[in-house]
Amino acid sequence: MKRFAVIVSVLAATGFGLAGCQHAGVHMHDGPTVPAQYGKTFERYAAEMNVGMAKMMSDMHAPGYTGDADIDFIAMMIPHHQGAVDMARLVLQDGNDPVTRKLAEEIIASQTVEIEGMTRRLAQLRGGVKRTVPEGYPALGGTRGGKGRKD
Amino acid sequence: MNEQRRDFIKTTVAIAASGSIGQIGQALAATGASIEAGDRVFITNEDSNTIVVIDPRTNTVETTINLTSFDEDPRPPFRFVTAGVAPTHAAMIHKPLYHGCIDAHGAVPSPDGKLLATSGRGSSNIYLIDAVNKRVIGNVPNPAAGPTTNAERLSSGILIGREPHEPTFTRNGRELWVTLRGEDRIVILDVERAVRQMGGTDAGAVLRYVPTINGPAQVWFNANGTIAFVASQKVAKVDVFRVNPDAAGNSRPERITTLDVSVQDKPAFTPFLKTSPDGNEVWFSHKLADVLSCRAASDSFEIQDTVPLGNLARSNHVEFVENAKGKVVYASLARVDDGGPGGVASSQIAIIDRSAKPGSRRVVGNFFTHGRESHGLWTNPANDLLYVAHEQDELPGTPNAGQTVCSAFDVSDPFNPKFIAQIPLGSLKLPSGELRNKKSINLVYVRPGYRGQTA
Repeated sequence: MKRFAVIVSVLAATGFGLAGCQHAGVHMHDGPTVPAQYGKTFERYAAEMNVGMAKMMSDMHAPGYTGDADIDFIAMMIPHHQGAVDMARLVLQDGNDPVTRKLAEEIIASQTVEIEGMTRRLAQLRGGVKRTVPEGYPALGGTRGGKGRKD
Repeated sequence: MNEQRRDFIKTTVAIAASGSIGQIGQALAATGASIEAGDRVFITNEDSNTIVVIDPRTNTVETTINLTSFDEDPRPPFRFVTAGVAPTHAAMIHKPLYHGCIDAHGAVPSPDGKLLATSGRGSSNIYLIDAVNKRVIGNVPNPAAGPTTNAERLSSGILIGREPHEPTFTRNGRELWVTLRGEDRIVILDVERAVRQMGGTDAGAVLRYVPTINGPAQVWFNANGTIAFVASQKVAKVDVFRVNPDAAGNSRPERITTLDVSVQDKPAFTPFLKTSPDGNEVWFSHKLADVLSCRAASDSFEIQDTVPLGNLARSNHVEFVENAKGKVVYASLARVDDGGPGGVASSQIAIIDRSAKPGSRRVVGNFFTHGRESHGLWTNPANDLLYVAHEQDELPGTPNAGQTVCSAFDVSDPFNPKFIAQIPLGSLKLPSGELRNKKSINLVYVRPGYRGQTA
């Protein structure tokens, strides 16, 4: 219950509170309606899903565009991945299908590592690292000859 | 080969017979390229562990050879798709009970074009493929065969050592030399015994291990098969061996010299090489140095040319094309460039004019491959067609987005290649689901029964 209380307070603080709930079910801004018959446990799961998705969207938009496609991609992809990890954790708590659980575990395992990698690379890119020589060793392939798509 | 006996099928005939191939057919018909009925293009796909077979008459995928072990048993641990979930390409080889190929990489045809050798980099083994029947040699009937399982159980191949990169048949076809890139040696297999051993019974296929430079990447023989060149991805050296066959044709390798190539290859990273068909030259692809180099294939093996390919070109394979309109060496480039056909980023092939005087060879042109990170490339026996494999499959906004693609070119004028087709490789249809062919590496054009490039 403590977790639910925290979520509710977060919802309230971020404008996603339950005050706007309709009688036929729970409706939260930026989230689908949760019919009342789904029960309180599912309602809590849905609330946390919606908080996570709203946070993800907010965090993805937060950095804004810098004019550098590589930096902007990573800066926005990190919260996108984090949103996936957060959703995966929720289904591990509330889901019961072993196959979905396995998928969620793999998402957490892979995307957590990718977040770490992206965070490190973002720091390097923002620090002005030479892009064609990652880690001081030449890139093997996939390098673009130009400077990106032309206007 | 006796030209009179060749069942030559001009592409125009094939197109006329098919009647419904559309634009690809029209483009092919215009080439008049020399294609025989048995001709096939084989492409290894490293992430899906499959070999795609393309029919050059239609430029479509005829079949996909399965090097995975999925769906040999109806129970979930053996399936590719379990409970509706297909594993990612990276994860599929880690599924419980998987005993298939890991990282299908190198591929080369035997001198008579009837066999294909494919290395499993991660599974540390070699597979032999029947190029005529397009099947893995040594597969056995699957005891669990049924409506939802494969009819065959995959051969284990032949275990040879860590990180086998590229296999190469000796010119007489008796042996298969495989560079063990994770070690400092080459393994030599007896081909006849290897065919028997593919079925699982030890036939003594591994004849010997030959110590060589560290990180050997590829071995290639000179035109008459007397000398072997070994390039490395760990040291800036080239090992040169005298093959020295005995009366029965079995090699007894003797090192002639170890060449210092540090001037041409400062990063010490040379994955590929090939000797010219005329027997005079050996060309090296120094991938991280972004240059090709050419040496004499005999005597003192002196350097003849160092050909810069451009910043970050990242050359992969080289291929020779020589016909009435020119004599070139092509180099596939890993670099992806903007400004490709239709505004889509693509890799390129560098064209080097080999008719120029040694010492003055240079890149005289480039052409886009219609794919990304070009890797394997090979020409047909008439040297008027070129096929190119690609590692990357992200082609957003194009009709073949999400597919690995192979491209075909009319090179009857080697200096002005004409695009024929971008061929989507599709997927391997396993009983439990479709495994998308992914990350093409080697590509070879094979005419079974014809003395090919390795002869």
